[in-house]
Amino acid sequence: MSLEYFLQVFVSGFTRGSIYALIALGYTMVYGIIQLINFAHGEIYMIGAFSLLILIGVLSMLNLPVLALILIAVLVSILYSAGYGFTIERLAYRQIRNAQRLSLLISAIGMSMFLQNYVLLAQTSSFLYFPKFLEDIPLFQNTNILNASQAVIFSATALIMILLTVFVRYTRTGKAMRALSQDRTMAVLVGVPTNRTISITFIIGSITAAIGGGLVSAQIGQIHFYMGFIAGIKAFVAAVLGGIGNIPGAVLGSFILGLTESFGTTLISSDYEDVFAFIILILILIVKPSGLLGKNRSEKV
Amino acid sequence: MLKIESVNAGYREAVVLHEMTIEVNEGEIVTLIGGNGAGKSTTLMTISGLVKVFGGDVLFEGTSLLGVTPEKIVKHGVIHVPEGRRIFPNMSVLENLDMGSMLRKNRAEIDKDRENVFELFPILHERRNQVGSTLSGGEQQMLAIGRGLMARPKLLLLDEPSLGLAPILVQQIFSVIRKIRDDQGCTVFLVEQNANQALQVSDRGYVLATGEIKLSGESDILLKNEDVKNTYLGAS
Amino acid sequence: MSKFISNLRRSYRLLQGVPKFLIQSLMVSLWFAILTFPIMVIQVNYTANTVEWQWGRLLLILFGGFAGSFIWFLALDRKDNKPSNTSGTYSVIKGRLLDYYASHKKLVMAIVFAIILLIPFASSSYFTRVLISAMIMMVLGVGLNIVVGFGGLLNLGYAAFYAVGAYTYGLLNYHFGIGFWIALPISAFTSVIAGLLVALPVIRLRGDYLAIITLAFGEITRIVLENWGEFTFGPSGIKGIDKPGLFGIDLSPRGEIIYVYIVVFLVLLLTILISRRMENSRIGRTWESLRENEIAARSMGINVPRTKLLIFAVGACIAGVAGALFATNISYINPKSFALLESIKILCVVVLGGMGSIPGVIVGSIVLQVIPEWLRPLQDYRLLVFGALLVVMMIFKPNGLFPKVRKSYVFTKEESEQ
Repeated sequence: MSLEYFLQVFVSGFTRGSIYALIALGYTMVYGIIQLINFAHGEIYMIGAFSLLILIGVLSMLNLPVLALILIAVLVSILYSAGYGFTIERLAYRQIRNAQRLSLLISAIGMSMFLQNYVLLAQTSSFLYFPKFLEDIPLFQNTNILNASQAVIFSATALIMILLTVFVRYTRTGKAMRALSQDRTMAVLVGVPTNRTISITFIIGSITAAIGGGLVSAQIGQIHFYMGFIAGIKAFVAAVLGGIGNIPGAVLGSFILGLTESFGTTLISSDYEDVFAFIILILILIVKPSGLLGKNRSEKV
Repeated sequence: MLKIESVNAGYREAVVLHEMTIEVNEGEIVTLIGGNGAGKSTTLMTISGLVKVFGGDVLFEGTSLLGVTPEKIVKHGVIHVPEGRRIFPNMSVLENLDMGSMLRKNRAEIDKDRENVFELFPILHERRNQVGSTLSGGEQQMLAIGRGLMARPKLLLLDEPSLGLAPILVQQIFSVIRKIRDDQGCTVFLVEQNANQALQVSDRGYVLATGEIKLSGESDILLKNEDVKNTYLGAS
Repeated sequence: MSKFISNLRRSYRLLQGVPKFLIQSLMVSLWFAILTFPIMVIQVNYTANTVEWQWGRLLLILFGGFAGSFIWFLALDRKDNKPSNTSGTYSVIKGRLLDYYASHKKLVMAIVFAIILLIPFASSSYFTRVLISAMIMMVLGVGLNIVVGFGGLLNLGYAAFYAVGAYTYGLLNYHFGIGFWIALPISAFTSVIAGLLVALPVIRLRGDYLAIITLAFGEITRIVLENWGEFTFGPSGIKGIDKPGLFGIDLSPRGEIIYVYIVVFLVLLLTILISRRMENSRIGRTWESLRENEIAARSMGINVPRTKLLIFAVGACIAGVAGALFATNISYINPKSFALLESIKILCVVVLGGMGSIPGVIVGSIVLQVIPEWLRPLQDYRLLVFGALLVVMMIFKPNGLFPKVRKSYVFTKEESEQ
């Protein structure tokens, strides 16, 4: 394998990892705070992509300069995804928060089914073309290893990771989120506004997922109502790999997953692409049952 | 300041407290003693809003706390330090203390209170950047109380602060409780299994058994009471 | 009389809440209208470069949202403020029925069995088929109930064992012409092996990690089935699988269906019996203590890993048997029937019915097999409604339809004062 080829596969895997990371962040934050595997999260990613496409389509009729058009569309689609995330939590999860975990899970599964079919029925079942507007950026046009859209994806992911880490460590809401995830009752007794904090968590997760959805669609050039499902599962696998409930873990897991898939499909086979994710998950969990960076929550006996 | 009037409270499967009536006046240290499972923790949880009330009323400074969410009760100035320390394990000592003062806005006052906490518990200042889970049991208890103080409570609810601590630490904790009331005028409602120490540090006491108040009165009188001595003051 | 008054009181309180609900519903419907605007109303035609505005849908959201959220608020209010229902007419009837059942257990069972056995003779083949798939779902439900309900081990890939059983029979039948009755134990065996294989790496894992790994195994199974064409015939599956033989007698097609029905019913009975026996035996109690608190169980001397393996094995065995039944019922299997959706359906059966309760599993299976049939006229909207139903079910009955009531001991005052 030539160095150039190797680097291409590496960069491709890294890009995948970035997208998974953007989705996995939402999974891990929600799990950390209410111990729910939010199956509907992948659908937010998909809805983000669809909203962006629709908005671009509508706005392009207004003859705006391209940059302004894209920016407005991106901003509004992010707002919409945040809205969906917020609504889903209020509607399907808040009532059941204190019931048994399995019921919460089933509600999430139901929500996922509902959203998928909602977009399917309201829009279309076919694959839609998505404008690859990132490729128009005059960067990296001359190299074979890295292209503009990939570079944008990296930078966006890095930026979001930094912002999120700062947010969680230093802001009041961030500390509230951490407190809730470490000891919910105690957080309540300290005065943490539970409902509001949980809503904010969902909103932030939805925003990062929507950004991921928009970016990946602009890179691949097409979207489909089913895209959230498999991406969601993989992102969740990535979050678990790194130790669920743990932001650095989710990111680490995502990159490992992305690289594994990239090299796996190139070197071994592309039919079994989805299987790589699961195999590496099983392997890592055998060796480290709580994930790579996961802390074994010691239970009070 | 705090009035619990004929309260029946508990869980859907079982009512734990029966017709409980307790009064805590401003500036007092009042203690609730009783054996295991008597309902002491449930009493505090009823005040702080974590446990359902089926009958009666809980009044704080004249307003009823029934149906008020626990987060709002904290805003009223009722601070509950639950049993088992329960500090945030992955946060540092400083961050834990910050959580205590989370609802407050005045930076200067918060800093002053933090200084105060470090004065009361010098070891916390030493370990201020250490993560909660690395502290010893006694240090965690101090942190829990310190965190409670950071909210500048009007009423401090302490649940078994001496549990599992070495005697010398127990002494320290109880003298700190005295100090909190004497220096800062904080009202304290203390729930304890260690009846001896609790009655020594408090002004008045109530004795709880199977969810009912059996005795009440001035603490020094209770200390000399025959039944109390036989049942609760045996080993101490 | 007092019942009547308390009902009146309840209605009055509901009415008082109405104006508040109206305003809330209005706001909610506006919110939904804005939220769903891009996806519902805007249809961009990319080839013609035009935009279609589906205003009709907007109205649908506004009115439907309003009506829906109004009903929603009413229902939620009713749920939170329900009085204890031990004196309502419904519960009185239910109580009487249960008493009658308890004292005439054998008679009731005999009648019920007779009815069940006679149904296929009196109904269409289509209806019988539906019942057969419902019963197979019940078998699966009982199996998963043991793993999740009794053992507390969350398995999101149960369909994998189901698939192993089905494909074992399918392949044996295709390649070697092996009949149902011989293949059945073999299917059970291979499924148990699969169960142990899955369980081994998984024993040390906590709840949610267990869930994702079982999901992973489930998906791997499906992907392998789809892609390993030489062995499993890929997406086209295996056709023409034999029905079970009855001492070599030639049966008419209708006779075959009835025969399968009876076989499945007997297997279901057997499974329920085994499950009940285990539940009430020492093994069952071990599993319950494991579910409640793993650490406590371990400190009482229960061999946790071995117990988990056993639970998995039993669950897998049952699923394998169900798989063979499934294969023989429709005579055709392909990977699509064993996808994640199937695992989720089985899980829903267990949760909807009420964890750990067998009547719950039975009702849950009927609900989950029959309702999609009813929804068929809705065509494309089937899954949409199904998803919505799941959410609604969980909100209003989070513990399932027949939550397991723990046997409790009640001490009367005289006893405690002795």
